[in-house]
Amino acid sequence: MVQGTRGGSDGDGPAIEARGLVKRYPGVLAVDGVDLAVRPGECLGLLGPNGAGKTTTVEMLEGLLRPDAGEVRLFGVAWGTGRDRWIRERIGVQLQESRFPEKLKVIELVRLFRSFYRDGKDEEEVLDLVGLRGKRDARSGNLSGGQRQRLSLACALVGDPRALFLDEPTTGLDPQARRRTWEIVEAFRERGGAVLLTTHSMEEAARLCDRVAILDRGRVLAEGPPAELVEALGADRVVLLEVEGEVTQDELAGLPAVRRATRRGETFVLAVGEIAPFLPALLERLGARGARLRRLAIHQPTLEDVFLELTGRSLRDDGDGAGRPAAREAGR
Amino acid sequence: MSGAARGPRLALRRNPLVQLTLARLREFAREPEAVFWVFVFPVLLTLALGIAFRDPDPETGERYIEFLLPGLVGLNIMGSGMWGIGFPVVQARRQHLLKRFRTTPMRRADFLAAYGLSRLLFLVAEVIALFGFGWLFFDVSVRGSWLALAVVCLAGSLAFQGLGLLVAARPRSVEVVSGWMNLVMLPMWLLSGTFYDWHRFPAWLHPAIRALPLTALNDALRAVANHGAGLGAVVPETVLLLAWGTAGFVLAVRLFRWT
Repeated sequence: MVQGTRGGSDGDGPAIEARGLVKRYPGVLAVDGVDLAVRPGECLGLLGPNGAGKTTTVEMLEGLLRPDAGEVRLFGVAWGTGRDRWIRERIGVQLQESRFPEKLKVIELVRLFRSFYRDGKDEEEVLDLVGLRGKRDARSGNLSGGQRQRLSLACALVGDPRALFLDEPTTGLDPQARRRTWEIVEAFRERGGAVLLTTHSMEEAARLCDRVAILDRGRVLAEGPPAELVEALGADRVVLLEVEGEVTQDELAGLPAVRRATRRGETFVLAVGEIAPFLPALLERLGARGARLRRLAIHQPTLEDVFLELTGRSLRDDGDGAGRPAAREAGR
Repeated sequence: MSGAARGPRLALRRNPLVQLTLARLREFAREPEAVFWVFVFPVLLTLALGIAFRDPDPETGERYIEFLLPGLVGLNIMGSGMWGIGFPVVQARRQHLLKRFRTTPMRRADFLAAYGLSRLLFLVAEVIALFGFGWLFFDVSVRGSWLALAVVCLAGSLAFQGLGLLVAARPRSVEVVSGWMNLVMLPMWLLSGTFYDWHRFPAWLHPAIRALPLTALNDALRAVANHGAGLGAVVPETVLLLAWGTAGFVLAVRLFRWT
């Protein structure tokens, strides 16, 4: 430890570190032994469907929830050791669901948040940074959804944090505002800030994250750089197939260049090496069986496929129409 | 231009208590309905009742408006103290703003003190508005010491802020907190002698009525305004009010839910 017995350094150690986190709610094991580490200058993405335990995990990292087991350290300092304020001076948090008092103006809210921190940025500069200069004197209730998101980001940045927690920061943003947010996060990371990002967007994860952790049912199923996780699938292409007639999963798995075949409802999902030898063989087999092709889709593998492979579920799956808030409440 | 003035101004701008208090004041001032209920409604009520009861009682020679006005001030301190804390706290909890504040280094004490401070500023305005109105239109004057009046109003406000914070400590919806607020305030509306003398209730109820904070506040306000009491005469009521406020705050802080 750099600063001796007290612990807590802004130096080499991980900015955010969790070991063996467990959180139980009545009837639910929401988080079941999660380990995470984010180093300064690094962005870690937390991916998972609703109810996977993302929010619970993040709230434990942010010191909002006390874990039932395990430990969280920020810059080497654990929550609840009398130095919570020391930690809070160094983190910025953007909650997806938080709303601001509608009657207060943008600049008033940024000033309010700035006043909580001993050191921080100039309020006007932060507004420039997030592109809200033109809305400086607008009441928060009159902002669009995207502008509110950026106001929220401004309030997270105004304390000049070294670690940033972002919960779906670009949901509801138009493409331009989304790119702007990404640039802000990238700039923050390049200056040595640590970012923990929760997102549903594969594009966002692939663009911003050095590493992603895939979370499902309270456990980290896989962790690594996005490209490596995709590569580990061993597929050049992913083939989605719906067939009318008698074809088995094993049969499809035996076709040339097929690495793996799984079934998801009506759809077969095939991880395929080379497409050229695969396609004719597939059609021939279907012909021999008298089966008819109802749907065939081929795409390059993405994190979405990694997730599907690991969990058998889609990342965007909200569980058959169960809305987000409901799914989240159920997770509590 | 004013380089010297910049330092102190920046210090105020970066002071969390100042900023939190300003936020409270702004939110209130920009909410026309809240302004109506806290300032306009009591004055209208006073006006209506004052016109109806301005003539002296033929038997006692006392005017009802003189009895009524301190009670209305008490009632107003109760309502604004409880609603002024309970409603915005629950609103902020529901909107996850409290949770967001929790992630910052903001001190709880600053957060609570900002509510107290903003209420205090409104309190001064409310009390002056009501007594001023009574004095201008109905010639009702404060006979006792202004210091005693200030202390009693302050203690009353703290009592109801404490209770308001307690009621608002856990609910997540405005509907729930509204129900509890009314439940807490209703007995005092009826029993605490705002519109009539609470001694009319049967004697066995008197100890319970006397223990209610609004009773203490109304009695103390009347003692000062109508009977010219000084600070010494209203010590028991003031102590009771401070006890209610302290109990409310202590319990509320223990039970308080940020998420």
